Amino acid sequence: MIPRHFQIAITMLLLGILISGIYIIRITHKEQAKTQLAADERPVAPPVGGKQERIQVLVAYDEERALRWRETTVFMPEERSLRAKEALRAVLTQYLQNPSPHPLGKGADIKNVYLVNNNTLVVDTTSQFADAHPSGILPEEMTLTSLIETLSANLPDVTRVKFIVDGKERETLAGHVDLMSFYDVSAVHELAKEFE
Amino acid sequence: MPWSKKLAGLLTTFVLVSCALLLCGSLLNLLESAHPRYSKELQFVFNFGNFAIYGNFGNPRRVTDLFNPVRLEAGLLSGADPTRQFTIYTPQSAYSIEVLERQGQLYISLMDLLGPLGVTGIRPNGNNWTLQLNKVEAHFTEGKDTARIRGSTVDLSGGVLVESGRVLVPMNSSFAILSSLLHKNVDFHPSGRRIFVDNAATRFTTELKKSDRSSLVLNFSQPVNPSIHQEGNKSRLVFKREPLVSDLISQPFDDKTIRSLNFSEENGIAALTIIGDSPLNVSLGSDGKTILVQAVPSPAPASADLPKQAPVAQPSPEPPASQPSQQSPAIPAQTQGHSTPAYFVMIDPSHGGDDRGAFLSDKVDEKELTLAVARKLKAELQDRGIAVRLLRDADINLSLEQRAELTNAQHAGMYVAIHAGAPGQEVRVYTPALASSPVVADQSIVKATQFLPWETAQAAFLSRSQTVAQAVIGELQKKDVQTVRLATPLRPLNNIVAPAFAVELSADRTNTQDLLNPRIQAMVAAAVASGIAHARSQIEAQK
Repeated sequence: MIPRHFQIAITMLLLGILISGIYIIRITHKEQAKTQLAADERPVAPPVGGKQERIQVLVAYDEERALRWRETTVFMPEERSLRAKEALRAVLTQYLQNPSPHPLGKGADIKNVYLVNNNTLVVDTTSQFADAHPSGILPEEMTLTSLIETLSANLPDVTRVKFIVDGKERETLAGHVDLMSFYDVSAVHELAKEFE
Repeated sequence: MPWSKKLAGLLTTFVLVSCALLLCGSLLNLLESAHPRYSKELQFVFNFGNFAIYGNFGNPRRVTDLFNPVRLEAGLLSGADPTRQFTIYTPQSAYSIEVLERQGQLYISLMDLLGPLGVTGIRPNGNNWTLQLNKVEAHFTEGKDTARIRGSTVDLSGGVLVESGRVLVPMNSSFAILSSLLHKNVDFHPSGRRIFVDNAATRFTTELKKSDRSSLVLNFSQPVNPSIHQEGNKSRLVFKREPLVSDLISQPFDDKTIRSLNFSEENGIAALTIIGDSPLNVSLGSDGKTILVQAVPSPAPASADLPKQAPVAQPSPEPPASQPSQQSPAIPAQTQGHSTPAYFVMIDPSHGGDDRGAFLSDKVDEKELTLAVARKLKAELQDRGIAVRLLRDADINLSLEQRAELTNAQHAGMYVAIHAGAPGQEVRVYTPALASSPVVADQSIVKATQFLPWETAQAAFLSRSQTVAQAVIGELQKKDVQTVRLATPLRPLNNIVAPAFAVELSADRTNTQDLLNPRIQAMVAAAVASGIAHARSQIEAQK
């Protein structure tokens, strides 16, 4: 006959093992879900200083094959490269919502914007921006045109724009449109007219 | 209660507690291998479990890493030298991978090595990593210098390393891994960092034709496309993707103009260096298998000794009002003396190989569709008496740079890129849009070198490209095909030194059947061919 206190101890231990097991399985699932989310979602950006401003953004509408100007309110810092970054992120916000007029892959974001010689911007995007971008001449061209036109509208002094992906040069955005060149803003104005 | 019963109770409790903690430790190990990035919850469980027990049953290195995840990332980045590369040649493709230095040895990523051969992933199980290729399994263990492939033990000549989920193996083990896994002939050149699978090799023979102006003819077993570097009297031909091999290292010639030919291979690249008494002129034959090397003639223009020289005429640039010196920008001036009157259209079935292009539906890849349409366009153009070449006639990898280089090197009279995409229910005809101004910083450099900026090489041909595009649109509209004409910074249109445009068949993703319809493809191909034929006569008339 097993003593009563023994029975209680064994029961407690077995319960402990069972609870530990359930807890570990639960956090395994939680961690896996977190990893998935981390890969999917935009990286957490530091809070932006500056005052709220209404800015113009050029938004691509795939179904109508058109680019349209929209107004949006964002916090715009004083510093020009940060202003450029926030303007670009305002465009991407439009594309990342659901439903989206021009869907981009999850995680598409602007990592940094570098201002060179006061008139040239180098835009560093996340790898998801290019990796998960829908491949096709039209969608790729509309993305770049909307971003460059938005930059031009909010930073009129900028004359040239270059895109890099995750700090590195890439031949094309998603197999078609050139990412190696520096884009002349005036040349992009002409491209934008085709989508009016 | 008697003391013996108390002792038995204590012992049982100890055994049960140990079992419970052992179970927790094992579960933690499983959890860790499933998810190497550690969370706060995990640390909590770790502490809640038992430091000692986990330490005993877990991996001590991981315990350290658990508290210093930043070190993992730093370790991954350190020692990576982007200039070091290792090239793998197979009969189908060639690819270069990064070489890392670890523990005084050169390492490569196992997935970089095997991914292009068909391995889709490596399954981790604790310290063990398993991969599969065509039902053949290979097992690697972190820290061990052997692997199990096809049930046999393979010596890796160094321990397996794992960095942030990436399995690294010594570069020198690539021979053993590939030969065991593929069961094919593998030839490893460790000093050149090159490996050849399944007899992939391009060989060459040399023939020196002696005269006042001797010429050296190199005949290759496969088409080649080397980049050519001139340094004084030395010409260096660099073969980045070709599996060029040679038994001879240096071949001296008893000649006054061409002194020697040297073969070298290093850092995953092969090179031929030809040394002469004076600057040399290197030109590639039209079939890509012959290279002619001659001394640059001093007063008189070069005469083409090579019978297989590119049988095409370089269309002269448009009336060069602003840029009088612009000629073929991507081609050295020396090669331009070899033009012949033939004219051909270069058709580029976009994408191919690993590059599937736009996703149209589960059943349709852009790369397949573009090849089908390109073949139809080729037949239509030939029916109209226009010579045609396809940039690819199989599912092969061809970079955008290579597409432009091949088109320019062969002096195509026109370039057509075929694409397919979504959304839309139309045929879109794209003309090049230069991303930046074609004005170069220093025209004197252009004048002196006869080279133009690669990114704006199309500049002199823009209006001809638009003429062709307009003619194609006209022919498509005659067949009641809905069309759109757009300008686009599409690669490699801006690098082409000829009238260039792209045709894109479009469909909505829910309705891609029309794209697959051979009758629709043939109709579009016929209209594009008519447009090209029409535009060609227009352009000739303008000239």
